[in-house]
Amino acid sequence: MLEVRGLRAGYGENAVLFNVDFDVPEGSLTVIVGANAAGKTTTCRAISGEIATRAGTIRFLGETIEREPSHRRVERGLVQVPEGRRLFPFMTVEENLLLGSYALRARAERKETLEEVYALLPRVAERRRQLAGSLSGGEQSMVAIGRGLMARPRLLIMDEPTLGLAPLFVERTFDIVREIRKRGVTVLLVEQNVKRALSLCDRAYVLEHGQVVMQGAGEELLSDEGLRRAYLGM
Amino acid sequence: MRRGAKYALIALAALAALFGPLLTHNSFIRDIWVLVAMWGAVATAWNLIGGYAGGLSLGHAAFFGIGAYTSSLLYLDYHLSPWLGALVGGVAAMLSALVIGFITIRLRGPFFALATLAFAAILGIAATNLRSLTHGAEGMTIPFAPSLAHAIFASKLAYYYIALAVLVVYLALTWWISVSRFGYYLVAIRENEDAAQALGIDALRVKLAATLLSAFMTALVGSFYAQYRLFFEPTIFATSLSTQIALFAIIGGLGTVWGPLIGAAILVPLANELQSILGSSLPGIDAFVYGALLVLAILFVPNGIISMVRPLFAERPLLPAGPVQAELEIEACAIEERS
Amino acid sequence: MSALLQLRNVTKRFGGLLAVKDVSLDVQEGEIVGLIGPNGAGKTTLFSCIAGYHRITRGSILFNGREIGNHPAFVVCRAGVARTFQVVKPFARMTVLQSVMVGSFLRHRDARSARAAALDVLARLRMARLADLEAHRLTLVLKKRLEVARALATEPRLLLLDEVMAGLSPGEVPELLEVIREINASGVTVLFVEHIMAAVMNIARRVVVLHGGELLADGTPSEVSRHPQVIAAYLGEEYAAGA
Repeated sequence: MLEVRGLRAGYGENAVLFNVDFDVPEGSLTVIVGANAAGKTTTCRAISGEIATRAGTIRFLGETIEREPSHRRVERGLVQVPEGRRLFPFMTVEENLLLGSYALRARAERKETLEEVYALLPRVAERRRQLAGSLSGGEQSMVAIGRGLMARPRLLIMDEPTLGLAPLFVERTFDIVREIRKRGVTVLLVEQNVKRALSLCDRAYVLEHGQVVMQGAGEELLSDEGLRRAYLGM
Repeated sequence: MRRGAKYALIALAALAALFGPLLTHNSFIRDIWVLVAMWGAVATAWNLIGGYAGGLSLGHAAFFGIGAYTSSLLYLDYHLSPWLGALVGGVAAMLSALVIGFITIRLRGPFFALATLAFAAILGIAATNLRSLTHGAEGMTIPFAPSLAHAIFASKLAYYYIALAVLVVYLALTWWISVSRFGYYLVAIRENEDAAQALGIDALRVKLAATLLSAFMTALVGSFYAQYRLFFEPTIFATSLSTQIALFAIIGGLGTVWGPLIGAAILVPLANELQSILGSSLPGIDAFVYGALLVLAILFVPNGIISMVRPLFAERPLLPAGPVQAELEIEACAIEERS
Repeated sequence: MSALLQLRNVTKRFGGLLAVKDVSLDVQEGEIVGLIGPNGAGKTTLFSCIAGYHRITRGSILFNGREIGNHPAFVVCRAGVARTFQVVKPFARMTVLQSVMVGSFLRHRDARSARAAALDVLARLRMARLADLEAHRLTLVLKKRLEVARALATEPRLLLLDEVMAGLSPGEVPELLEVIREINASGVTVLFVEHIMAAVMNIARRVVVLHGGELLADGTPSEVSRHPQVIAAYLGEEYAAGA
């Protein structure tokens, strides 16, 4: 579904990604792990269009998209749930969710999608009239995921959704990921919680210093000494 | 430009400076020469703060006025020779700089500029209201009693050569600073104060030293002004005066030795010419044209007039001026050191 | 022989946030010590405390036997501790040589000897050819090297490098590592913060791990990379438990 080849990207003078190659097969849960500053978030942003790439190609559903602006990619069904949630704190939960279906394709089915999201995330439904900023970290994370779903994604990119969450919400998040997959959404997940992510996924890539240094089935990588070395240098 | 040609040009400029005013008997023209030398000196003093240290002071009229008032008061009330009075004025300006310095030294950018502006404005108000001391809005008048001791002269030429001497000293001082540790430290602070601190530079102390020096230098010329015009009012503290000083340096070339003088040498006669040509047709049109020319200058020659001339003279890189320097012929991003 | 740099119970609080908790460590003269830890561990805060950019809430920092904690940055530099910045801070419009002279002026008052000393540093860092180039025109790699040159010109006994490899491509890392090794060989003690693990483990003789503001481990690179708590900090508790 997603093919990335030779990706180079960075911020101003700082180059972060140097030659990233990976694939996300349709219907899979693909995971990207790696130490801090390895380039996991930069990768997400490059795919969603938040930052421009310097070189390389990104193909989504057979079409080349690396020059397209973000909103066009969302129309195609490529949606990101960004790191740190980034809700609109002074709008209600429902308003945040509705904004998620701004894209034309999603807007048409907005009402149905909203009901689906509330069914999947009952806690969010309970708080639909509350200001998003007043929710706890875990609840905000749920809303952010819901907002992503409102865009009727074909591929959902989730950038560290369990960051800073209590164990209960970490559990819940992984449950939701499983549910999303059941409904046919392909998921690209970036995670710090290595064990969970690798046990759950179909395929995983390990980033180190802007390059993919390992790839394979999640369980394989878990037992590989190389994983620890990718994080800790030796 | 070849060395010979360069020295020839400098010699020519020196001759022009020394003998220029002698070539005419026109009082107005001689007045222009005096003003250019005078404002050139003030702008050069301002440049230490505005150009080298990078703190845009919009209140230098404060020091100018303190110099004028101090030497005049001491002369009129205590019969102290203005030569000495000027030095006292310089010290008074330094003290005021110390006070305002402590308040503004931690301020950056626009806040610093606003604080200096307020400072001069406050002094202007004080000068107007402390009538018993400063004769208030009536201003200070110095009776015309020419003598060397009184520092009052019948001929404009005398004033010119004094101003020229001061200007030359200030230019020499600026040049010396620009090749010294003090100068390097000032520019470093301007370019990146945090990095400067990390290299052992006590930024506050260095900036304060530059402020004190600049204040002293400016005040001396303020005293000169008082002796030249023999009359001034609290308007000597006006913001317009402060901005004029800053503009001479900016248009001529911030952070360079010659920039401020070049700015004054071009703008003072220009303002005068505009006034005489256009002044009578529409009131204020001369100021409008002057302003428009300044805007054009900033747009097209943002590094000052001197940036058009500099590449011709520089053999070895001088300490950098304000904004982007004249380009060197080097591919920026392609340079890689392979050793 | 007491350590060159001694941190004793250093604590830094920002309002409600405890960024550095009770950290004690020694750096011996001549060492190269790496300071690592996950994001938000407090590494840069600790660095800034040592360099004099933050006041410390509690504890003491001794350099060469003298207290440098809570002294302003320029005093710390004069005492012999120089630093580079995570985000480079060049004197954009000064040339490479002039920038380094600003550093060498600390120990050489007159322009001539300051210039000679600066040229010397540039030669050692293989940048002599760039002397008259304006700093803003350099590529990032060279700007970082200039930052090191500038700090070195102040003739420090301890050099603090704050993520000096950040933003460099994998190919550019070995060269800078070599430069740092040479600097250390010439007698300068080096304490550096780094995220690029391969670089740290390659060059540091000792590694200190910070996590959540606390000291987690202190040992050789191979000891630290096998330390269960360090593994947990980087790869998650569950991974460490399983391994």
